[in-house]
Amino acid sequence: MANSTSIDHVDIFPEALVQGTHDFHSVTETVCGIIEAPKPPKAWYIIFGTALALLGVLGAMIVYLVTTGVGVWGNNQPVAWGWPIVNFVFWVGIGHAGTLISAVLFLFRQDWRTGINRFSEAMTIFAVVCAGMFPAIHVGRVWFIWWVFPLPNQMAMWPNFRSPLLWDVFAVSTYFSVSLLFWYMGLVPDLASVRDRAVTKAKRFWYGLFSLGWTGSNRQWHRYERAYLLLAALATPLVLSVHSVVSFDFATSQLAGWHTTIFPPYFVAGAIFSGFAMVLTLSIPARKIFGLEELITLRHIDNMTKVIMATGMMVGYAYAMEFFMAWYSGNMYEGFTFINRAFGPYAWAYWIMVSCNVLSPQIFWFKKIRRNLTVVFIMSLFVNVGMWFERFVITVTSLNRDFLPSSWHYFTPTWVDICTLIGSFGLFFTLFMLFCRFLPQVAISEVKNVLPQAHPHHDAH
Amino acid sequence: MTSNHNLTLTGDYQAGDLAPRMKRLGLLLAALGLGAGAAMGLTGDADAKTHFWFAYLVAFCFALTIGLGGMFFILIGHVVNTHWNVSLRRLAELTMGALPVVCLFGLAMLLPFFDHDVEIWQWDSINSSEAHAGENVGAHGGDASDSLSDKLDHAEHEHIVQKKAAYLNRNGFIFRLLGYFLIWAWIGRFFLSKSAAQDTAGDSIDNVLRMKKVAAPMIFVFALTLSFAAFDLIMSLDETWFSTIFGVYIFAGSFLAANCWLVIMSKWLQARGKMTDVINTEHYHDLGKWMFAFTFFWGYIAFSQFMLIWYANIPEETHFYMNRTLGMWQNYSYLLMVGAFFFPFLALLSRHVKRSTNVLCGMAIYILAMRYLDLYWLIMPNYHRGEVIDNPFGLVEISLAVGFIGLLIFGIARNAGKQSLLPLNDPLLAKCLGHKNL
Repeated sequence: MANSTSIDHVDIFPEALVQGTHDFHSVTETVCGIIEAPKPPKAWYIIFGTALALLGVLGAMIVYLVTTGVGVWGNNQPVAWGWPIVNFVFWVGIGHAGTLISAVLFLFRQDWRTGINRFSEAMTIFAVVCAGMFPAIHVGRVWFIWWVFPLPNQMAMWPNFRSPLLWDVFAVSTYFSVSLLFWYMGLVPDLASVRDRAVTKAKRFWYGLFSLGWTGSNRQWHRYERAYLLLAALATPLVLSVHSVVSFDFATSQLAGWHTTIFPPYFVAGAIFSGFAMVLTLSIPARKIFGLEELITLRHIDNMTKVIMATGMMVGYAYAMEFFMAWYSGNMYEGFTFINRAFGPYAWAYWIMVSCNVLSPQIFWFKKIRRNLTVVFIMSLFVNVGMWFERFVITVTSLNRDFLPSSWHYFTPTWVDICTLIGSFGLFFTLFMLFCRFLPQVAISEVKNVLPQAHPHHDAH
Repeated sequence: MTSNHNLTLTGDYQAGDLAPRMKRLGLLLAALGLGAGAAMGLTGDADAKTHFWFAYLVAFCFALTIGLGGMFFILIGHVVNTHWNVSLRRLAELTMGALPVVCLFGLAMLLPFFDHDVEIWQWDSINSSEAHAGENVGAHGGDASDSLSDKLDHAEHEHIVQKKAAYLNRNGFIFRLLGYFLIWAWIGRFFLSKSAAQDTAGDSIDNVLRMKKVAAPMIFVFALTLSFAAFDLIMSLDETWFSTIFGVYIFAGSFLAANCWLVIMSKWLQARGKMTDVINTEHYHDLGKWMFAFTFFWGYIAFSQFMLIWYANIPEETHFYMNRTLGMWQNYSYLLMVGAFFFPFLALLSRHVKRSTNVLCGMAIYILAMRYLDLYWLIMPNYHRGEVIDNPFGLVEISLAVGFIGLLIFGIARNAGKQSLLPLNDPLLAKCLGHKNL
């Protein structure tokens, strides 16, 4: 045979999805061990403590906001949509990887999703919680937020069905419900494993309650797998719909820089991009802290960086098309907006966005870098930053120089804006740390399915 | 160190005498189709000639998008290291290998530039009316009976077109077109030759690794060339209209068309005793899934474009849809919505449809017809744009479409005999043949 180096060979015949000498029992031990350990690792306390403190900051900010009014934020004319919408889109975007990994990659028969799907589905749910908070507290009188739902009421008042903001309410809440359902359904067999191993009465009760009487019988597994496939198929259009609807918030307007037809697929690509970056940001430390390196392997990391590179370039394609069409349209307002974006007062933000989202992921062309955890971790942070700035650039640069030059205004956030954003990370990490401590972080039953022992002819390719 | 050591291939994977026969058939169809089309279209008056060239552009884009979809099929397969499509890969390679023939005849689209009677890309005549200021030769040249507001509209229109003359000009257009064609020809050549070389490479997988390395950056090249070719050939027919999603729209249709083409090609070969044991229900099922997925994706992209333009209601953009709801074009718009989206979407939901290969093949032929309709809907309303006309579809369209399908068949058959129809020695072939849909 021609001597292809083993590192190239991996491109055609990838290494095993579970490293080390695992068997069915040891996979259960590894994952359940995290929950059953009397105390979590030290790092958990540090992260959880910090997150809890930040969550406190968030609470304080919301109380201050509600008792004072939205004037405490930087939002004002002409930038009436400031950080709250930026943060909303940022968090919804992060919440995208979960359903993509659990549903789309499932339909694409990508086995490697098994190591990371639980993780990213959990992350999705927490990110959507953070996202949903921002429009809710942005409405001013937050105690009337229930008016967004079309409930019959004696005031004869209906939400405006022609508004994309209302479609958002439906899109995001549908996405949240289906993601939650999908995540929970996948959890049921694993919760039953934890229940069966539980030594305290309380644990037996709670895990027993949520495992819905799962016994692992043949019939249950059969139905489970049918339901899983159906849910995956139903969830797949949601991957497109949620962020498409979010993009409609902007693109249905007549504002240069917002109104452009590529927005729906461009937002979806960007969301997957940022979602995968967040999965990496979370999983690289978590696999180390909780000893999951053999289940979330370098191959998983490698694949995720490839997805990041691909979606990063789709986003780059969209930036390029927008710029080209702004010129090609011959429309002076479009042209001005884009020149203003790249060379105006917010040029710094634009170039942060381009460098983080398009230029820097290009280093993932090299396999050595895709498998260098430090570099990948830093890159994942870059992408998170870049994607936050993308939403900032879209929102703020299109608004700050509107059609009337006398009202041009350089938007700056207030300290409340900044603390609320930081606080939302507190909420996210608090929920995530609780998940890490109390629920199986890896889908035990699915990982067992990709072990060679699960396939009778496992020695043949 | 391929994994195929235990694999015994006993079927017929050589095109054999099918290749010369299909070459003759393709040539015959091309000569008859293009010849009849030209006889009907080019001998008439200026209007008939214009109609001919629009129909020629539709037929060319139809064959082109099938070939380009085949290219994406190859590129994405290498990049994601897929195994299910290995036995179909050579057929897709042959399809994209037909692009040079198709593109060569596509270059005929440059002829209208040199015929004063015919205007296909009106930016060209607007540019030249600028050059001969004072002569009213442009499509929107003034007329004594025009009202002042019409005159202002025309002036505005020409002003916008002149602003983009740096892109929409004759030399740039020709240069770009040649550029796309050469790039596509090179990609097609590279993958077909490397893949054929792998057939006889024994245990070495270097060719496969090389293809994988090249495929990733080529996706990038593919995306840009396809998008800009779509802007140049189709979008710029309506010289003031623009849509950032347009490249994605054409891409969605292309990949859909290629999957349908592969289904038909496989069925056709199997009916002649070729490839019978290497393309099975599982492979058809997967092709059917792609047909379903891209019917959906195309619908999603088409809806996104329509919804945003309709909702924002900006006249600079809405005239595209206005023109397509004018007179009988409205029927085409509804037919496209129901015929290219709702019906195939519902039909392909069924697992039985995807796994009954005859039914699937029928769906593939149907969807290809819808792909033609889509391109027709994009291109033809620019013939007598903004006017209520009778349905122009007729024998010219049919002949030219047959002609270009003939060219596609000829282009495929030209290379088909030079190597096996199956990538005999691909390291993932065994895995592909053992593939099952659960």
